This record gives sequence, structure tokens and C-alpha cells, in this order.
Amino acid sequence: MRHRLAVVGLVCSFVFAWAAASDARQTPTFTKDVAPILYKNCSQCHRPNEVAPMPLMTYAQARPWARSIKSKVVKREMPPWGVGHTTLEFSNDRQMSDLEIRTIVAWVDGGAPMGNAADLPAPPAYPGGWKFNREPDVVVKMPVEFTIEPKSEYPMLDFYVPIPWTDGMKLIQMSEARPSNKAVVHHITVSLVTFPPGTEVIDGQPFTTDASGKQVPLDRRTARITEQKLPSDMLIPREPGEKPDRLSSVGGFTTLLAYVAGRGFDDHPDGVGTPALPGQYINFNMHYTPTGRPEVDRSELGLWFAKEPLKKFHFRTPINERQHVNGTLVRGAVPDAADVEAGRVSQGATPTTISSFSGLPPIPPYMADYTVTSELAITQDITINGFYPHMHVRGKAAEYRVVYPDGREQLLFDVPRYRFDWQERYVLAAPLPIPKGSLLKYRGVFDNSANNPLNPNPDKEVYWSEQSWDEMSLGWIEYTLDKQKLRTPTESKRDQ
Amino acid sequence: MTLIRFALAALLSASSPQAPSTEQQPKGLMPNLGRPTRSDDAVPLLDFEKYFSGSWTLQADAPDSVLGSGGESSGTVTYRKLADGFFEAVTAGKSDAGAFTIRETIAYHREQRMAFRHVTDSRGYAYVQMAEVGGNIGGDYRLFFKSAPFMVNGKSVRLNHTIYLAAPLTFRIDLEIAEGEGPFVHLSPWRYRRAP
Repeated sequence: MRHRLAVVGLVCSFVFAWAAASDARQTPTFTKDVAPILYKNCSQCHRPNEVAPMPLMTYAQARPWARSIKSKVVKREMPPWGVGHTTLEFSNDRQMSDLEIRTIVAWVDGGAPMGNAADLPAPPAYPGGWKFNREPDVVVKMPVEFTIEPKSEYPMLDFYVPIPWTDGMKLIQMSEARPSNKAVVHHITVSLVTFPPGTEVIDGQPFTTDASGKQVPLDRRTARITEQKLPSDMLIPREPGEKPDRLSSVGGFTTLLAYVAGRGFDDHPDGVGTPALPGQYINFNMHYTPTGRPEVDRSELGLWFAKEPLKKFHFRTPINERQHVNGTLVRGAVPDAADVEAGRVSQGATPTTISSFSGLPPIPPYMADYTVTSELAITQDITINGFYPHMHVRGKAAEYRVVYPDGREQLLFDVPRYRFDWQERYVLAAPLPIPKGSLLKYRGVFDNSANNPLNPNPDKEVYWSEQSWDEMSLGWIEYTLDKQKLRTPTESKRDQ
Repeated sequence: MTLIRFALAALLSASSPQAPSTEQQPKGLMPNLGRPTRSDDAVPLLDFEKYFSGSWTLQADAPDSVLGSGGESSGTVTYRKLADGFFEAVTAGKSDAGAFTIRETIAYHREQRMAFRHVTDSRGYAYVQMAEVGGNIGGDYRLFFKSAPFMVNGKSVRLNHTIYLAAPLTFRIDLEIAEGEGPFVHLSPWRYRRAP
């Protein structure tokens, strides 16, 4: 019996030894197996001077975090991605596949070995630290370094920089906004404006001369770009008698992009972009949140010009007509054509966003499910390229739906666990045509209860403003007008 | 019969869960202005005792570093007042490497918006830190602790702790470490939640 046990033990030892050797052979290595996953899924943020707190580009950088990386990817907390249910595919979905997660788990469980240095692929290039694989065609900095004093709050601040080129119109296909001090920048919204003749911009602030000859600050509402200032071959096509509406007003394409934690680089399909002319100004609309000690920031903007001829303008607008709170209608079809005509929604982000939350009743103390449902009537055939839901620290969940002209309703996607500290822009892998006569719906859910781990004051009513402790309910869409077909320079010349 | 029905209703009422009254719910640190905030509003001084006193659970996920092996940690920290302006915090934690205890003596000068603390960690090191206390009218208070250099495992290190008071029931500490004169690198957030 003892002899038989010894034989069994010997066989088991061989089996275990073989299995261990086999495991050792199969343990993934950083250089061969893990680095490609990190480069593809994580490097946009986990690299030096980016939004993630630690770079994960080298073995030396990643190895100390190995157990943490495993924990985060297994729970699917990293890479961050907000979409839950959806009928769409997104081109910027960075979620890892099951195989990639299993590879990382096996690497960590196997001792997180480095592997053969020769196996390491070339890391992705981020020239100058920018998110695209080549440096911008133009970089524009805020005109001044701004000091954020330790005070209660700052209103939105505007800084203006003239378009820095003189050789005609450029078509902006990609743009990236970068704060120099992420601790204080709540948002950057960048748009294009045109000042009236006689405006002088000093240290980024516009001044005009009043009737008495005195230099006075310019009312920035006069700085909007009008359709009349566009070149004739860039005009938005309209039927006879048709007036600009929500979906086709010129203000819809003069905002370049917004930076918040989680986004700040906008790219558009080939042939889609924003025209920018010498003489216009770049408007840095800055929202700073004081930290309680002096801080400085000088944010910057990178622009990449289209290499292909522009075919369509890149438009964006929030879904913000007919708003219901917990099922009760609180606003009608606002803003209306008069708002558009008056420039109240065509200035760019700020007036638009203001019109998007004024009139909503405050969120009551401790209310865990305050739901704002907004609609947008689709008055033109459009094609959606992306979405951007925006709320603040009480933001809990978001949802986009469409009701087609035949009455069919479709969930586009939901964000079941909205994160203020990581606000994604959801870019479609395939453009989504939305026919005229459809209705877009956006639902934002807010949690003002004490269970919300980001809620500073659950005992207070929450008002609506751009301060992060107040709220906003904005379901943005990014789209093109189907009927817009800009002519190429060759076509224009041929027709002349 | 009516009396029995009344008694039954009263009994059911007494046994059914009651919504907590507003008075018992956690409150933020900001006054109720009854209006949106303005840039000329004064930021109230942080009430350290009101915010921190009591017990909090903690969870952390740290990298390997000169302070020791990384991985997940959990535990409980209890803050209590020692005297006016002085507090104690004791953390009982555990990680893959075993149990640990962190003892802090904290001085907080409310009007000067300054805090100091002496920290002793059972894993073999101690340090002192001072902090500016910042905040804004949204109730977003932050304590920016910086340490003097101290020795760990034969190396000189400095630790920055930034404490973010996000909500009445949660706060977060971001750690940064620098070896010698080197740059500060991230050392993971510690997340705290008010213990039930």
C-alpha cells in the first residue's frame, strides 16, 4: 500500500511539475502580451502629463500597479466607458475584450514578468503630447496666464485670440483643448466669433469706443458670427422662404469643442469640419473652480486642418425643447425661432446652455431620482455622428431615444452610471441618419440624496447653472445636415 | 370591531419602515442661502469637528512602492476631538501584507485655514505634515498636506496627501510620494465612507 502511494505521489509530482512548467511557458509577458493592450486601450490617458494620475507606458511604470490594474479591469472599472444598453456601435469604445482581460489577469497572477525586450512593440506616438498622431497645424494659447484666487466661485470667463493665420479660410477637422492646470479647469468651451468693426482686443478682452469716445468693454453678444459673413459658396442651403431653425442656424457649427474631464479632443469624419477665417477670434470660454489656494492656468488649443475638401459643417445642439420634470411639462418649445434669430442660441455654448436650464424647478433636498426629459423636433434630414450627455455632480444616468416619423421608438443608448469626473463623448462607428419628422428624446436623472458620493449638500435645493454644485441637463448631439453639399474649389471654379 | 381595526392599523403603521426625517439626514457644510451662489459669497470656514468626528470605512488600491507592497487595503478610521483645535485619528487596516495601524494627532486652526498632523504608521515610519485648507462656495473643501522628508527603508521620502471632502458621507485622499529630491508620483486614492 505504501509502495502504491509512493508511485501515485511520484506521478502526481511529475504532473504538477509539467503543469507548472507549462504555466510558466504560458504566462503572458509585459513586452509581448500586455503592452499592446495598454497601448491600445489605456495610453491615451495613462501617459505623462495626461489626465490619468500615473503613466502605464513602460514596464517600470506598469509593474508597481499590476495588482491594481488587474482589479480595475476585472471589475470593468477601467478603461472607463459609460454606455450600458445600446443599439449602436461607437468608434471610441475602449472596453477590453474578455481575452484581453484574461491576458492581464494571467500576467498578474503569473508574477507580472517583463519578458523579452525585443518583443516590445513601438509605443503609440503622441507628438507634443497631443492626442492625435501628428502635431497640430496650429497651436493657440490663451492670451494671458490667469490666476485663480482662493475665492468662493468664478463666473464663466471669456478670453479672445485672433485667428493666427492670414492665408484664407481653413477647415478645422480636429481640435484639442488642454488646460495647463487640470485642478482648476472645470470646462473649456472653444468657439469662433466675429467682432464688430472698431473692436480692439486687449489682453484677450474686447473693447469698443462709446459715443463720448471712451473705451468701454464690448458686449460679447454682438460677437456672433452671422451667416452673411460666410463666403457665398459656404452658405447653408435653404428652401425658398425657409428661415434658420434650431438645426440649421449658423451658431450650430461655430463651437469647436468642449474640454471637461473625460473629453477634450474632437475629431470628425472626412469632409466634415468647421470653417475658420482670418479676422475671426477664437473664444476660450473658461470655467474655473477655485481650490482655495492661488492657482494659475493658461490653457491651449490645437487645431488640425482638413486635408480633404469640406463637404459638410459639423453642427451640434442640445436636445432641450419641451422639458418634463418627473413627468410634468415645465417648458414648451423653447428656444424657438425668435431665440435663434436674436442670437440667443446661436452664439455658441454659453447662451445655448443657459437657455437649456433656465426655467427648470430646483431639485428638492434628498431627492434621489429627479428626472428631466427633453425633446427635440427634427425639422431637417440630419445624420448624427456623436453624442455628449452633460450633467454635474448630481448626474446619475442618461438616455437617448428617437421616435421615427412612423411612430417607431428606438433606444439609442443609455448611460446607467453617469460620472461627472469622466464625461465621455460617444462617437458613432457608423453615422446615424435621422429623417425629418423624427423626435429625439434625452433623459437625465439626478441624485440629490446623501447616497450620492459626490453630492456636497444633499440638504439643499439644487439650482441650475454652470457651477458644478448646481446642475445642467444637456443631451448634446453632433450632426451634419443631409442637404448640405459644399462644392469643392474645383467645382466652384468650374461653375464660375 | 372599529377599535380592533384601529389598533391593527396603528400596529401596521408602527411596524412599517419610516422614511428618515429630514432632520436625521446628513447635511452638507454649506449654509442654506435660499438662492444660487454668487462670486461675492464668503466661503464658510471648515468645521473640522463636525465633518470628521466619528468612524469611516476606507478602501485603497496602491502600487508597490518604497512604503511597501501594494494591493488592496481596507479598514476603519475613527476621528475624535482631543481638545479645542486638536483631534486624533486611528486607522485599523489590513492589506495582503497584514494588519496595520495608523495613529494621527491633528491640529486644526480654523481661522488661519491651516492644519498640522503627526502620523505614526505601524509599518515602520512616521512623519509630520502641514496643510493649507481650501474650499469654494460649493462645499468642495480640500486639505493640501505636505510632509517634511522622512526615512523609510533607508530612503528619504516626502508624502503629499490631498484630502477632498466630496460629500457628507464620503471623502477621498490622493497620495503622492517623492523619493529624495525626485518628482512626486501618484500613490493611489484612499476612499472613505461614513461608517453605518
